[in-house]
Amino acid sequence: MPTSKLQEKLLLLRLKKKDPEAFAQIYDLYVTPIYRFIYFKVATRQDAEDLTSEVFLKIWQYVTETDEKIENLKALLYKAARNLVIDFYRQSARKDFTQDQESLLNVEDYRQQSLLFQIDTEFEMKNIEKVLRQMKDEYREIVILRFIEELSISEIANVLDKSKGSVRVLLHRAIKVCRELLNKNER
Amino acid sequence: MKDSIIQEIKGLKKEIQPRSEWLTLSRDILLQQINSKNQYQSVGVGLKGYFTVLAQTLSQRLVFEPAFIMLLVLGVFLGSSLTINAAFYSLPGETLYPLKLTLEKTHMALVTGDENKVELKIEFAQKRVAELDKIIAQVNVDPQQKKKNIEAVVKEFKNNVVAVNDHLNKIKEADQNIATTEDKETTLRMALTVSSKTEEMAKSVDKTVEGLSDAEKLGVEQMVAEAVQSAQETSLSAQQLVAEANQATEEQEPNQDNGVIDGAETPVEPDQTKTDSTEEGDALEASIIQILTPEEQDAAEIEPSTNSSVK
Repeated sequence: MPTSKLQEKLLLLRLKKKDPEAFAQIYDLYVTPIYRFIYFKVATRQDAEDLTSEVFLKIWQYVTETDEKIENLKALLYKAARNLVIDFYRQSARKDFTQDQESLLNVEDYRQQSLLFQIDTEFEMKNIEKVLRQMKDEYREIVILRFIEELSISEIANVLDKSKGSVRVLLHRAIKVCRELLNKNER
Repeated sequence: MKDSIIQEIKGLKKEIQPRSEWLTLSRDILLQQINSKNQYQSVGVGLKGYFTVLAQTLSQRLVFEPAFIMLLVLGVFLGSSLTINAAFYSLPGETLYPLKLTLEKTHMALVTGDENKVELKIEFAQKRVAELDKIIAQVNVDPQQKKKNIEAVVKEFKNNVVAVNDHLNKIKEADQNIATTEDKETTLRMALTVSSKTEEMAKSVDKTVEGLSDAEKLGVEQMVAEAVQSAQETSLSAQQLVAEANQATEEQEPNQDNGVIDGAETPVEPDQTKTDSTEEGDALEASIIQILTPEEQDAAEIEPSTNSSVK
């Protein structure tokens, strides 16, 4: 759903004044793109749902408490999603480490467990989704942001804290890798 | 190949959608959570907020887009011309009335030459008379407000008329140094117009105020009387100027028949009444024939008829 910059800024202003109505509007506008973005980064729909809810809660806390000027709400949401996914993997890795020996034998780390789950559901997946999931996280997120979420290069640069030039280079490489993987899978 | 991959990736957008029941459930839970954390007081964004957002947006590259600039220019142009147009029809007591007066002042500042200034002032004074008519015709207006408006417009009328008088005096002084007949004729014509128009306006104001109820008249009567008197004074000043011009012409052309009536030459007392000005009108009629050059014999038929409106 295209949102004008003006509309976004007004929502942000109202959110800063702790207006739940504005929060609900922001949720309605961005929940699907954020969910999709997280979905490709985690293994299960359940995780994607939990993390998406957490993103919005974090945004509410951040916007209502910070004194910093927020330039771009959309970029802020994607950044928050990214950081939460990173935290999520860190936490699960720690959790796995403290778990008893027996379970550790079965599951080395959460990523592996997710991968096992992935294999179950792989039949339902489209070829291109499988390719995306095989890609390096760095490449995957840039492809998702550019072609699925349709962010501009400068917006992506903002989300990833990179220069526009490096975003272009990264995107070019990502498509190349994507093509290679697709060819490999088809063979 | 590259495009087909991108198309395939784009296709995923429709495939990957959150469950609708989760969407609503999560929305409700989140709203509950934030409401329990914050005791929200309904605060509007306010004008300041909208302004901040607008300023932020403008500070971005939007400013440099030609289409935006065009729209802005068009908006400002259209907005200002509409405002000026609306101001043109405004009456005292309305928001745009001070703008109308300012515009008139600006117009005045742009005009050069005492003659032109006098003409413009007369035009403005006529506008004031028209406004007075409209105000008096207004119904369903608070009587107090109506009185205030009448006072404002009469005061403005008086100012205009007094300014005309000042200009006439200036012209009178300047005229003594002018030798050419042509210049004198221009002054004379201008003085004639001023004289007739101020008389007309004085009568019109008098007549309009007659239409007021006694209660309404009570407060404004004094002021109106003063304004009418100023108008009459100006009219007389103009006639005086005519008479002086005549005298000068007469001195230049002593061979011509002396038709000037003595009364026109003597300075007129400021507190003279309208009956005096009628006498002045007669003097004027005679004097007009006097100043005409032989080439303008035909026009002589027209001039006195113009002058009759003075009476």
